[in-house]
Amino acid sequence: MTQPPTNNSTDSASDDRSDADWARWAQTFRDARPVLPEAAMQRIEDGMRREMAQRPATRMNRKLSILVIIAIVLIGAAAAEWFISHHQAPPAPLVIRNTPATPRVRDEYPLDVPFGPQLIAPDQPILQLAENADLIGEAESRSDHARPSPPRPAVPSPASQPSALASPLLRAAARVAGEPPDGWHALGLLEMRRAAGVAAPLPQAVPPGVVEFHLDACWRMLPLPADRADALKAPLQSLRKEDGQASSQFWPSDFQLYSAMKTGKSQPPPDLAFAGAVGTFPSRAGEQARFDMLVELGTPKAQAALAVMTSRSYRPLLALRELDRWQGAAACRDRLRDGYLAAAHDLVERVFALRLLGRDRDADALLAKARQIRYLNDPRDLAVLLARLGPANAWTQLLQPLMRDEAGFIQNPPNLDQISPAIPARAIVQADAKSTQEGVGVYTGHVTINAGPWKLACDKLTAFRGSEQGTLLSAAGHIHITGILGLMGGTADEATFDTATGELKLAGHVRLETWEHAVELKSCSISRTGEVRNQMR
Amino acid sequence: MARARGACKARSQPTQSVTECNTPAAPLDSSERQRQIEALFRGYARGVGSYALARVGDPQVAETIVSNVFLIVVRRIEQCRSSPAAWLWSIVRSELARYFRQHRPMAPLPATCLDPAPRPPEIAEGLEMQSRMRQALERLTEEQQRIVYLKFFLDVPNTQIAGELGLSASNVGVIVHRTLARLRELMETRSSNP
Repeated sequence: MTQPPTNNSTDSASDDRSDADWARWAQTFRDARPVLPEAAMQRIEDGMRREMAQRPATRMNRKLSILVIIAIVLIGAAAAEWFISHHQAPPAPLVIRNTPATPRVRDEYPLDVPFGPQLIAPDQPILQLAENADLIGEAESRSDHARPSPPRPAVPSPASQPSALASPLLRAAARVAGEPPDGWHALGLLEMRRAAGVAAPLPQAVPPGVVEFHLDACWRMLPLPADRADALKAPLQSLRKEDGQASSQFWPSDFQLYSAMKTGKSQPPPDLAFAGAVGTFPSRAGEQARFDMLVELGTPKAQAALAVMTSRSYRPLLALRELDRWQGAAACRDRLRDGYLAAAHDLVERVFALRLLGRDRDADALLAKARQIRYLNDPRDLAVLLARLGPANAWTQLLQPLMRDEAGFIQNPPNLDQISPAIPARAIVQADAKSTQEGVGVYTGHVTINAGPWKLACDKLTAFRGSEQGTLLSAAGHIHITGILGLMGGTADEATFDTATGELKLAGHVRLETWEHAVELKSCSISRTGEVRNQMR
Repeated sequence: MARARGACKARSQPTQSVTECNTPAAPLDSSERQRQIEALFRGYARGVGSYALARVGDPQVAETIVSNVFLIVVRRIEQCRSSPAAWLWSIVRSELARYFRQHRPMAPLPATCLDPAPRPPEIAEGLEMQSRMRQALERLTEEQQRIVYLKFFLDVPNTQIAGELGLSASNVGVIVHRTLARLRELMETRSSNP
């Protein structure tokens, strides 16, 4: 027990007291300690035991507890999502719902009348043999033709004035191309301006399609006049800037060679390689870009193809013939001629290349075949054929194959006499899902209606029989219309298409985008020929 | 007493068995945990209750404090990392501090108003002694209160107190004697100057 210190001088009280006295006092203190009643101690023990019983049997690791909680939350969320998704799906036994594994619902509704705008027949033939007689080398034999081409206007040249119709179309094209335009839109705009005879500075194009744009820009500068012999330098530099390998490619090398000839050099540049595939003439990409631009502006494909094919210009071939006769190009002449033939796509290009190669017999045979196809040489015959075929057949059977390979088409022309316009026009409806109730079909989910060149997209479409004949297709929700000649597009709150008359009625907030401006209407109707009528503002 | 997974070391006491926690970082299973809590309660509950009552003077308040102390023991037994007496001291001190912090603004009632009923002389003397003890304990320092708590209420021997304080047993004897002298001085001074 406690021992009083014997060496503590500071504790005065302990010095004069014995150990027994300290022990007694300590015991007195112990005896004086208060004690909690036994009942209180029992209550404390009971409370403690209750607390022990409520505590978990094992104390789980905190990290493990967090992981368990997270797992429970994730499982709960997944279960909730599954529950919601499976209880929101309508049972709807009549509904055919589209899934990625199943095709979209597709129905066809016959149109009772010829539909769509009729093609405007060009006043020029597709094969421009007369204008390019010098290139195809048959000026002397023109009198042999049984049926000469009718008088026709000259091919538009950059010096001519644009037509009144071309101006709004070009402005719309420039608006569609944007600023700065990408190479493909710039190329389409360049070709449209060339065809319209409108001179404009070349835009600064951005990728993609910049190389094709610069190649066509160089091509359309040919042949160079004497006072602009070095005009190709700048576009060639732009071409090299876009494509580091351009100097060794066929057409840039060809342009360099031509530029050397025009600048009075006696020998070609030493770095010409004519490497790589020849491909097609640079004008081919320009044709396709112009066609795409016209379609984007709302022109039906058949009409756009007619516009492209009847406004071709083969003036650059004159430059190639001049280059072929240059002594400085003697070393690479054969390579160039083979390249021209490989790149030939149109009749004039093919005959031109064959003449350069000395294959006059092949050229004459091809020309003879071409002349036998009357609708390619006479616009009057073409107009009759287009009227008989109709726009859809004209595109698929005549114009699309011609655009793809004109020379091949002439070699093996299809028998269009067997094709009649009896193919009934149809409105094709596609949607994600369709339900049928009492004979009324309801299409939902990304609904599209294709009727001729028209295309209408909406959220919901109801198809029901009209009072007399035909079917009424009533569309609602985010309606967007394209393919109407003269319109770049349109939107409306409601639309009704009558297959009996081919008329499309628009109501609600109608907005029609023309080439130049937008028209806001309360309602209007569009005839099957594309004429906008009954406009209510 | 059985050794609890190397965490507690048993030592014998006159009336109870007391365990000492050495490595409690690992989680305890339910049986070990329950056994350790019960050992703590059997070994120290009465001493804690006595000290609490000596400090607050009110059996009901002391019961509440001791009840809170052992509820904390049940909830936090895994935190008992060294001597259970020292760990209990930290809890008791905290609970007493909480009590005094909450009741400090209140003025103490005169002793005559606490219990006006007449009492036998022995009971009256005991109450007087407890009152003096309470006031004397309040005037001790924190260290002295801890020594009194361990030595005279929990009956912890000097060797164990030395281990908890990091001192030698002889040095602890000196400190215990000085604390006892100080306590006696305070209580006798109070009794000589009523």
